[in-house]
Amino acid sequence: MRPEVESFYSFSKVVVSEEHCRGLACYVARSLNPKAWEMAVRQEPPTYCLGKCYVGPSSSRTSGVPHIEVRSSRAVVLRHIVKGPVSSLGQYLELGGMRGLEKALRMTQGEVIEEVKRSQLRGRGGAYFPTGLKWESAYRQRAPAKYVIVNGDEGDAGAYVDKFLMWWDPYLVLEGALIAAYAIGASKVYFYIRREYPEAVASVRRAVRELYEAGYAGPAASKGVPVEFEVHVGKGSYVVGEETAMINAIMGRRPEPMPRPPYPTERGLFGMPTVVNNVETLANVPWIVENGGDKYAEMGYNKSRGTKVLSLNSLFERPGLYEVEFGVPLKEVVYDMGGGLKGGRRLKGVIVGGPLASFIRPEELDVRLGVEELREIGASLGHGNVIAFSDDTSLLELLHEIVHFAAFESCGKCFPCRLGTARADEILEAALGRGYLMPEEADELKSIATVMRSASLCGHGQGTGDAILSFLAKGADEMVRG
Amino acid sequence: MTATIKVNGVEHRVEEGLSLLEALRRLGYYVPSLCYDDRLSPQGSCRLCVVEVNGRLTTSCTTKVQDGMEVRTDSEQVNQVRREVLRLLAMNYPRDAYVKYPFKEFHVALSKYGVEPQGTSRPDLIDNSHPYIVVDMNRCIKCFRCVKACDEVQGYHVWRAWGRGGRIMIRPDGPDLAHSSCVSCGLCVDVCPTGALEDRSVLTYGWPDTWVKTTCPYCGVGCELEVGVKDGRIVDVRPSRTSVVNRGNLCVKGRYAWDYVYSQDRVLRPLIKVNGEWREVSWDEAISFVASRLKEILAKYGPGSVGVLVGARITNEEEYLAGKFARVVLGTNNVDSCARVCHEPSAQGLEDMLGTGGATNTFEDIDLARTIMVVGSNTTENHPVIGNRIKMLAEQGRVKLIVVDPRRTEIAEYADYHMALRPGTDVVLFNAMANVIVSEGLIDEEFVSERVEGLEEFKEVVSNYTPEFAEKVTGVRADVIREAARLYATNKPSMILWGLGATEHVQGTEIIYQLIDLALITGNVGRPGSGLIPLRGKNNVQGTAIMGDHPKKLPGAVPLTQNIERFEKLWGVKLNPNPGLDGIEMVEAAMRGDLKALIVFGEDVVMSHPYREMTEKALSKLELLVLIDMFHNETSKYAHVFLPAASSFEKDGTFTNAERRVQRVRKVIEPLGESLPDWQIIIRLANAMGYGDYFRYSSPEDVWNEIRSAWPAVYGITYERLDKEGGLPYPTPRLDAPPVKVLHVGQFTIGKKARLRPVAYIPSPEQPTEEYPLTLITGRTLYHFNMGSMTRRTGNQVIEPEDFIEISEDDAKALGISDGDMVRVTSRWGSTLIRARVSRRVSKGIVFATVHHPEASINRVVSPAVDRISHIPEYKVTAVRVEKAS
Repeated sequence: MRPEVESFYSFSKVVVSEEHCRGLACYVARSLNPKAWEMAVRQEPPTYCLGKCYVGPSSSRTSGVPHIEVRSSRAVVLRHIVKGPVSSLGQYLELGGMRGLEKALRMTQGEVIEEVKRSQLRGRGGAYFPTGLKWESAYRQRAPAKYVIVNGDEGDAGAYVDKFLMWWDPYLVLEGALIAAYAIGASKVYFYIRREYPEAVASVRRAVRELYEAGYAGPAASKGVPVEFEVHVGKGSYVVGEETAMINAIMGRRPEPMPRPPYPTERGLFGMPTVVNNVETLANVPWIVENGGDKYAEMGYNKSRGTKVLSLNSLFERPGLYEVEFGVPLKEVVYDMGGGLKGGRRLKGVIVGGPLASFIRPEELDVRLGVEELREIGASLGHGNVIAFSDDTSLLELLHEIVHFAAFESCGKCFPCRLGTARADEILEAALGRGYLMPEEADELKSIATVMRSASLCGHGQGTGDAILSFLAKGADEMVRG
Repeated sequence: MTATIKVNGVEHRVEEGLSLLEALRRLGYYVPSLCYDDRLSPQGSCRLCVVEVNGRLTTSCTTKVQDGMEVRTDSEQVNQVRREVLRLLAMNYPRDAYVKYPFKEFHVALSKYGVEPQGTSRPDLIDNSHPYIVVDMNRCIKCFRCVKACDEVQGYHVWRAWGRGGRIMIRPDGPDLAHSSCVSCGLCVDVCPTGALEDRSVLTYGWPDTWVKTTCPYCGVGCELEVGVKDGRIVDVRPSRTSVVNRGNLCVKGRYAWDYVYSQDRVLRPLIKVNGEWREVSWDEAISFVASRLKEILAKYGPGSVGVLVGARITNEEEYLAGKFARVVLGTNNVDSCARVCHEPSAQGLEDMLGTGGATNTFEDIDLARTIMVVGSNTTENHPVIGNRIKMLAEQGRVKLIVVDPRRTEIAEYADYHMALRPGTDVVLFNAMANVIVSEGLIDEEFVSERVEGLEEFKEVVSNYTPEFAEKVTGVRADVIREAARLYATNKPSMILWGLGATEHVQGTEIIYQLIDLALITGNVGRPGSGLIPLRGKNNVQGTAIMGDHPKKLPGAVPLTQNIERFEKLWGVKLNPNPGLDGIEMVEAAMRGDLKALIVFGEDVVMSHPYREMTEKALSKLELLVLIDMFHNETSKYAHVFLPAASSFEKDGTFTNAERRVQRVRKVIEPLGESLPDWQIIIRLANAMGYGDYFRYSSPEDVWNEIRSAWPAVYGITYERLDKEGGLPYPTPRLDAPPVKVLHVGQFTIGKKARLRPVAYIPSPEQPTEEYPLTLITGRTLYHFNMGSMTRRTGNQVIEPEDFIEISEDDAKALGISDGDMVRVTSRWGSTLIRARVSRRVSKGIVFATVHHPEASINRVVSPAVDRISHIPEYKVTAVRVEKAS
């Protein structure tokens, strides 16, 4: 990689002995361990989210595993790890693994795609685009090569489901990837994992080796799909999780998002049709193929079908991973599953799908979990991360933390995001000292955010704009004075 | 296909497939953009070009026009985005730059939306290191245009983006621009919307008030220039955005090396040498002196004793008049051009075999080729605009590239097959390629049976040249020869482009025959994307022979013997029927004392001919040597009269480029001092010689119209049409029809069938010996042009101040030579001192020297061996010895 491209990444050259997490989940939980949070703020470069949001504030040395629970009528994504890690391919097979792949290989490519379409599975990375349609589009392209990219860059602070899927059940994700590769006719699968998840990297690498050896994958696969796997490890960038940015990253270019169209399924990696699927999305696929798309679609609510894993942060009484069916009211998630906040803290709000998202006030918690349902109240589902915050966090501080993160991670390609995040950060930084925003500052923030939301190239700028606007709309009373 | 779109309520029909941004701009709507440039792929980053399409905000640069679109370019939502982005950009942007240069793209957008910058500049962000380009990073808005232009169009990575977000820095790949890998093409400056990258000349002299389109005076690519003028002075040159030749691109020579026009040592008054000293005289005195001396010599020795040499820098009209002057006024056919020492074999070879002495296809066809073979051409340095285009196609995998060159040139690094042959063994290599094509049955049988004859004889000759035999002679691996031959023959259409590495050999013309043979047996002639293109050296060398500057050819490049009557009628005089001497023969005749007078238009014969010692001796014997030029040169030591010529920026006319395209040369400024355009000098000389009635022209256009009647192939090309349509390749015989871009479609100019010309290998007389163990190749570099008379008088001289000789690490080590040492190069013919560059570009046993500077004057060393057919000297093979200079 050329040195100037390396310089894009926070950790291309730097090594930090102990990394302290500066992710939003750890921020809101700073009262649980103020010293740890101070270390995080002092660390240069900062580490945004280690995926240990269930024990935050955390560091690379923090240990402990989350509570894992299935609340849906059928266990799909967490069906194995709810009982603990799957540590070998043999164990995976004993648990009934690879049945989905075996069945898929007996079907035509079109039939597999049809099954996924029937399931109404939508991409769990945050965009919720119908997975079957994505596959179909790539399948229909005529090209000398096609690729599948597994997006294991779970960068949204507060989410850690992908981490545990890759770490504890990599076979399930890889089985899903093999089915995807078979369905679209891909010759190679790229697996991109963020550097903050070293356990996941080791686990996926080991699992790939086992799949090669057992003949499920690799150029000489006898009972699987003859595709090669290549594991890429990130170097510290949030935007790289955006699919076109990830394509650039794998090609050794600056990981900047690209305008669409052309969509990656038409012209993606190395100019070839490419399907980019998130880890959790692929973890659903074996079950769907094995049990049928209709079975899967029976679960869920409205246009959001099936199950979703929610990641609850450490401020909850019972943080952890919960597989739920779409349609569950958020109230149930917060109070019934999460058990409310630790130590009698008072809930001030919940950020779902953050950090670049709107916040939900306690009085809005009747909303049901669903893509469209959340959108209706100006929120988003994102990665299914549920970050509760309490009274000790002012909205101004929270928004500053969000915008500061956005500015730090902005790739700088598109002007509204590069300039907007930097300017908004400046304004909020100035307001922090005084404790409130002046009306003209609020106006400027609003103007910047409106343009970021409507004119940014990718979700990074758009989402930051959304967050600023929602904070200003819902929290003006608290944030603006004078 | 057109689409109907509604813009701000008004319906328009526009081309489908166009980007919405292009469509709106063509319709005259103002759509600002800071990252888009039609030479680059759209990146959609500045977001200023947003418009509403069916109510939704979208960037118009990344949106294709679709039927039924409803577009708003000025809604409140659109304006809000633009205002806000501009406001954020302006917060720290230097106000003084905005005030001083209001016409810059970014500044125009700012004032359009009422945003005023408030920032100031930091002096430490200004890089003044480069002779042509001033870098002021205070003004950088990180639009990435320069990064993309360098990467996507030029194939370099000089400008690089470091870091991310608000911390992005755009920096060259060296400590400063002057010490980076920059090739000074200036494209980054041209795309920069703010002036963060700016031409030093406009900062010095001010922004031009007018722009004049003309054609570049350097190489045969023939790029179109936009020349900026302020107060009657050239202050800038930019690429033409509309040219099909250069497509908005230029190289350092065309873009920046124009300041020779204002060089302090330019000769601006006529000179006559008296007692070895130059004396300024009036034009009348100079002209009547030349006329009376010519008359005396003609009377005393006859028309065989005078000659005219044309340097190919002048216009078609002037070349035509120079030839006409020789034949009508002097009564001699001793007229030739510098093509003799560069591409005469190409013109001769193509004419002999196909009937037209020019490229079979145009540069536009490069995009259509699937295989390109580049022979003996350092294309990215010597024809950079075309070289970089081929390089990028190869890099993007859109074309397979074969490069034949002893040196590892830049373009060779992009080749699928680089055949680094021993210098002078080309004939064996191409015969071996033909051998593979024949023996593996890769001949295009259909094409050959219909259009080619002489196959059996050809097969017999090439049958001896197996790849294994060729490997022994050329040093190129047999399997590589096989692969390359297969690729060329099967991955069609295949195109061959070549430079002087193909022609400057004792078998130069025959090597061209071989290339044509290869094209013929594989059916790669007469089809789009195929063919043969000689990359001609000078701006108008393609024009010379066809304008009649040839001892055996009249205008239209027709044989003298068969066309003499037609021209006697046209010109109204009796013409000398005896073929004349060519350039090489004229120097030999001078040596013998047979040639007494020589008129030279813009060529430094002493520097450009081989075996300098002999050339100087020969020229010193002349009774009259007249130079028509802009600067004194090595030849003027032996000249008697110097007539100051105007530059190509100071006159009207046309040039013909390497793809046969006739393009307008337009007067940008008045001639400096007393200098005159060559056509006017010729008319004055003709008048003084008593032939005024035969040279009654009031303008170059007058002359062109006479050429149109003398040569039917350009009858359809008028100045009016050139002004309207841009350059037109010949033949364009009709006023109402487009030019013929691909020659020999269905039928060759020479007839239905072309005859193959098998060539047997004759080794060069210059073989390495114990005394002269190395083989010298000579050639050019990016920054200088030929004998350097123009480029040495520009900032290019700062970038590359002297000639050099490339020597391999092995040879350098063995000879105790370090990089940068002065070395003595000696051959049987002479010796010179030159600076060594230890280089990986040459292999052991080979050295390469540049030819641009009189100090080194490597032609002192170059062998006088010439090609049997067209007399081109073998500049590419001389046995030499290299030693560290004491």
